[in-house]
Amino acid sequence: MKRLRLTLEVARWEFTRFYKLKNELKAAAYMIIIGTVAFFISFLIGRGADDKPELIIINDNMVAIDSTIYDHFEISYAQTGEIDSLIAWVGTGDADGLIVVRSIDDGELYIRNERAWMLQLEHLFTDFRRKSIIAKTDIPDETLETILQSFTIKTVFYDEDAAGGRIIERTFAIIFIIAMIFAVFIGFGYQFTAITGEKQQRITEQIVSAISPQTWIDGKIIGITGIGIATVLLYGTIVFFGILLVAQFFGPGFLTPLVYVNVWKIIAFLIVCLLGIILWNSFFAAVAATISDPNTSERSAFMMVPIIPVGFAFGALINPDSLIIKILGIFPLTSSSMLPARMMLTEVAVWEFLLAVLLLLLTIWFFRKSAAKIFTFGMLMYGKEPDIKEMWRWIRET
Amino acid sequence: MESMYDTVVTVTNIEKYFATVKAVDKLNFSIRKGEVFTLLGPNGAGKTSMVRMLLNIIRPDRGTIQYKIGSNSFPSPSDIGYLPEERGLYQDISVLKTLRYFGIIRGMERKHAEEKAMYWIERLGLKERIHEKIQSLSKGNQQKVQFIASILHAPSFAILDEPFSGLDPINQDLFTQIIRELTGNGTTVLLSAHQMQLVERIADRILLINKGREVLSGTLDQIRRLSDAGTKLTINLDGTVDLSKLSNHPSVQNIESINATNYVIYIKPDTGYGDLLTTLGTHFNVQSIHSGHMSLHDIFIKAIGTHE
Repeated sequence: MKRLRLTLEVARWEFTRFYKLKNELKAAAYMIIIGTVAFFISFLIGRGADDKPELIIINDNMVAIDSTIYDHFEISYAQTGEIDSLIAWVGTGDADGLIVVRSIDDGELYIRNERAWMLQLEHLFTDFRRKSIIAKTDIPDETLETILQSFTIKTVFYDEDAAGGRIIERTFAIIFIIAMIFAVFIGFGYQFTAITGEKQQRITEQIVSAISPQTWIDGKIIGITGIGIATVLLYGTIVFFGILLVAQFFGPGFLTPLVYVNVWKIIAFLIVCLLGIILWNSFFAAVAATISDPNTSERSAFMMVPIIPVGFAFGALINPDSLIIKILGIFPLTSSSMLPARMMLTEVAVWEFLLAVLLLLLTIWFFRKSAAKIFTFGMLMYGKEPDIKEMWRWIRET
Repeated sequence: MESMYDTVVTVTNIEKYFATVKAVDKLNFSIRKGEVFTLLGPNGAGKTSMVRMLLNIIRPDRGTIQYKIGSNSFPSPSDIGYLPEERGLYQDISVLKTLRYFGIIRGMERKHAEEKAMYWIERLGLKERIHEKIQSLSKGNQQKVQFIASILHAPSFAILDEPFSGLDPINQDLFTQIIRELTGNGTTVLLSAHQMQLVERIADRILLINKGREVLSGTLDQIRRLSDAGTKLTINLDGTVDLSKLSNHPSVQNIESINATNYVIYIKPDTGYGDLLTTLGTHFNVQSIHSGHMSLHDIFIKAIGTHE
């Protein structure tokens, strides 16, 4: 009980030391302001993009150009004799471009600089070419339309009632995975600062003369996991209110898919993601315990490790029921992102879920124990980082 | 003799190796309740290793450490106070929050820790800085915060490694006074310090170690006797000085030249120096003369020199 109290005191200390709600709210406000400004700038750029480019066409060979070109360009026609003066005109910027159509197959575009509309122009002339060739074959318009139609597939789910919830559950699963990675990366920064910072500031000796290294590490893992979760919750709340605001414009129907949500599945996502955050924080604590200076240590590269399972999760999209994907859905270092991915794409057996949770718990236990052991032996090693062999020996020692 | 006193901790045949270096070599000592026990020794003598073993931060390779505080084999965190040699505080946290946290992890209730912190903050003249971050404090004031953190919870046994470093003479006196108050209230203090004058004033018993081994131990008087530390005369002479007339005198153990006119003459133990004074008066133009015991500093230098 006393140890639990001390662990929670350390957790509280770490949490309040780094998490300042006032600063977080300020940061969120800045992000909203910057986001709003960026949105308006994009909007203005978009409006600017609506201005049609002025294009001059020299079409002495009378290639068929249909009226769709007027939807995208301001068009004027000219003769070959004027070409030199028109090129000069393009050079001064008075016209955006000059296209000399040589035949149905090719032409030249005179332009000052590369522009995004060049691709569109190419598509249009490709279309004119196709239509011109088809016109020569005397195929009726209706037949041509039928030829160009694509094959239609209507998806019918075995459990049609569950289908409505699939999209929203998939959305939730993606949100949870993103939130987990967000929380994990926040934890990484603080965990390294908290552990290596104390070592650098020579505080550790004083602390561990009062509390056990295990209590100290556990408190840090809990406190810093708390920071990640609090940050995710804060931004989650902001996004939630943003959605409510959007719902005001689109009507309550916007939120209707929520009724299809399988609450148990959402709780399962939540449990796995939460354990995932704790697992990675325990892992970071163990890594940080081996580091003297995070600015120079090559072990800082370990921060990239949690990204790897997220990459694997995309593999689940191809075949969620393959054996390797099933194994990665249970394996503790990958399950926190693979299992939600599988759960949103296929049916996952209860035993698979329970086994994944059990293995996650055992791995968390192993990481936190290892972190404390490595810290106990390595805390007085200033300037030198223990090698893997030394660490493994420490972990095995009782 | 030890059985006459209540001991707080008994150290028996302690040895500690770091790779091939023997940091502590068969040390034996016990610390009595309510005393100021001082560990003395040059840099690298093994003092900090011994302190860390007493705190269970590192474990001895051989030997035993037996505590007689509380009911467990090792005292609870609330029984021990520790001011480490390696100074360190959370630089971005305020004075009060830092002390409250250190009090809590030593087993104090939050409110009690805050009250006690307030008392000591005021006592050590940091009241105006209470909400300031540690990084804004001078080295001396940071030292005060660290000192408070080690005694805030009124430990039974306080281990103070170099408590006077970075302090001006006024604050050194204040710390000395507080340490005496602590022992007066039943706290036992293990002190490791280099300020010999302060140690002389405050230490009840001294253990002098070098290269991990005991060199001398006991009270200051016992150490003086054990180290053959006699009287010393500090003299100021005028004119040309021929020291051979002094160095051959039967009462003189050694002569140390401070500069061209000032000398320290070490008298052999248990010998008088009346005849030496006559010699001085006859052959030299003595401007001033002071007699006194050999200081702890002198004993330290002599003993370590002999041990080397």
